[in-house]
Amino acid sequence: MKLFLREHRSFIALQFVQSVIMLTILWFAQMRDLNILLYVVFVHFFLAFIYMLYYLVTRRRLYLKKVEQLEKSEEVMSFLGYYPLPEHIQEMLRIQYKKYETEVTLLQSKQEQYMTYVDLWAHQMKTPLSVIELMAQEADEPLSSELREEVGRLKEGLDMMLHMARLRTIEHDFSVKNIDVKKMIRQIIKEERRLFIRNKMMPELDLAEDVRIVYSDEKWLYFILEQLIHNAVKYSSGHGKYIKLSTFKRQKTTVIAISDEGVGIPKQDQKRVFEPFFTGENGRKFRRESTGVGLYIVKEICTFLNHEIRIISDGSNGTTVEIIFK
Amino acid sequence: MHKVMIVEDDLKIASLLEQAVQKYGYNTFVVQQFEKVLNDFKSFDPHIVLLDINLPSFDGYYWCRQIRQISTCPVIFISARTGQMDQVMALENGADDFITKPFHAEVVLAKINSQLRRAYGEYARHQSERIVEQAGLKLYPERLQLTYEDKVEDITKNEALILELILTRFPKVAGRDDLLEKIWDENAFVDENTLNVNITRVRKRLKSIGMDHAIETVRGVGYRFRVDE
Repeated sequence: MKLFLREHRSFIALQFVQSVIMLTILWFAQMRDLNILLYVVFVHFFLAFIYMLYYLVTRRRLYLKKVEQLEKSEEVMSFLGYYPLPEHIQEMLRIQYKKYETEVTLLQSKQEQYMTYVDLWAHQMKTPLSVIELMAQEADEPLSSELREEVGRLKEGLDMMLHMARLRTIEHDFSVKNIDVKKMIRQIIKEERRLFIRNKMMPELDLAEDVRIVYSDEKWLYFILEQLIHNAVKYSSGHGKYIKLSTFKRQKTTVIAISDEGVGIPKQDQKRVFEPFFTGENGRKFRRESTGVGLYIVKEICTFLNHEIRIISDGSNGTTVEIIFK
Repeated sequence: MHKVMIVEDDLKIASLLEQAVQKYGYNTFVVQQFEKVLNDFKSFDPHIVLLDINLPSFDGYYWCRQIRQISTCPVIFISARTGQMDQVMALENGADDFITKPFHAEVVLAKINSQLRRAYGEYARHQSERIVEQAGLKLYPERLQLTYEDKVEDITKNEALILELILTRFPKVAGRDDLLEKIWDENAFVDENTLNVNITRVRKRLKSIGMDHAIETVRGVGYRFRVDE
């Protein structure tokens, strides 16, 4: 309504000016009967009012639309009325919408192509990696171990990339069921034993008897724990010897906690570690090819699966990460 | 002797797999023409097949189905695809096991052995009991025994694992990390000390059957078997 009045400000002003001019003309034409003069003014304003009312009613879709409440682009496109101005505006919007839509579709398909390529590439790289791994096994020590360590890094990077790509379609790619946490933790430690050995670290298990089953997705939970263990080892190698993995009940929740005796996370970084590509002070200082992606993926998965993730660190002596299952 | 057929279009991987498998005393055949996998299968008549999924012309699933029509021999898929669906597809198409790239040669061999055992029975296994031999020293990893000349010594599981790696690596050095990985236990995690203790024990065993100083330490790297001329 305001919009309508604002737009017709000059029109209303014009009506006043016109009335004054008309009255002046009539006055000088010796028409001095007050009733007639008032009647003329009344008719004049009445017609102007009727005109504005007609205009408002017919273009109400345009004038009375509440712009703040528009959410979807389809709502913007809604019917405005069969009058020249609304039709004109609608046509403009339609053309613009169509243009953007084509552009978005194009970008989407490009993005899709790119992701497919990333996925394909990551899978293809596994074959040369296998070759290097097998050849490295044939080499003499210490070259053999060093080569395999590098292969391990590449493998880890590829794995991260695949998970990052898969994260986009997580809603089609999960199945929640009962998972035996103890078994899973033991399995991960066995798989990652090379990591512990190489960094001269030891896992330490403290798995409560009454914790057995959590409700989660097996593949993603495995990735989360694997990632957290990797971080724990990377950022405590040379500082501490033990990585403690514990499970316990707290109030009505089940908790998996991973504690290290490493460098900790500075207070100012703690809030930001889950942001994508955030590497923080330690990531830069220790130069352990931190990409800032691992914890981001972990956080996204946790949010999706409705697990809470919490980081506890005093900033210098070790870090504890808790995954809380409600 | 068991025959292993390798169907893998990446030549490097195929030849490395071949080497690894031959080391364990198996006969191998690497397919060269991927349009005629079935003919090769018929003429070579393998005990077990290692099959890649992505192949030129037909894929691994297809060949697995073809093989299944004429044989029940174990088929292990080796593929870079890690999806659950791929594994399900493989098993649905008649595979017995699935290994994802990048793989460890030992995993492949362990799976080959387990499939052969299952398919051809304990009898076959007994026939070809594994013996690791180096300079007259014989290690029987399955019955945990060590023989040198006419002397016999029983050893523990860990000692056997350590010795096996050192002997198979000869003349190269067996890395510390690899040895630790071998004796890593799910219940008692091992560290450097565990390895040191075990190495000492292995040396004692060797000494008691007349092989003194057979294992030398390569500082900071690992251990090497030493053969006196």
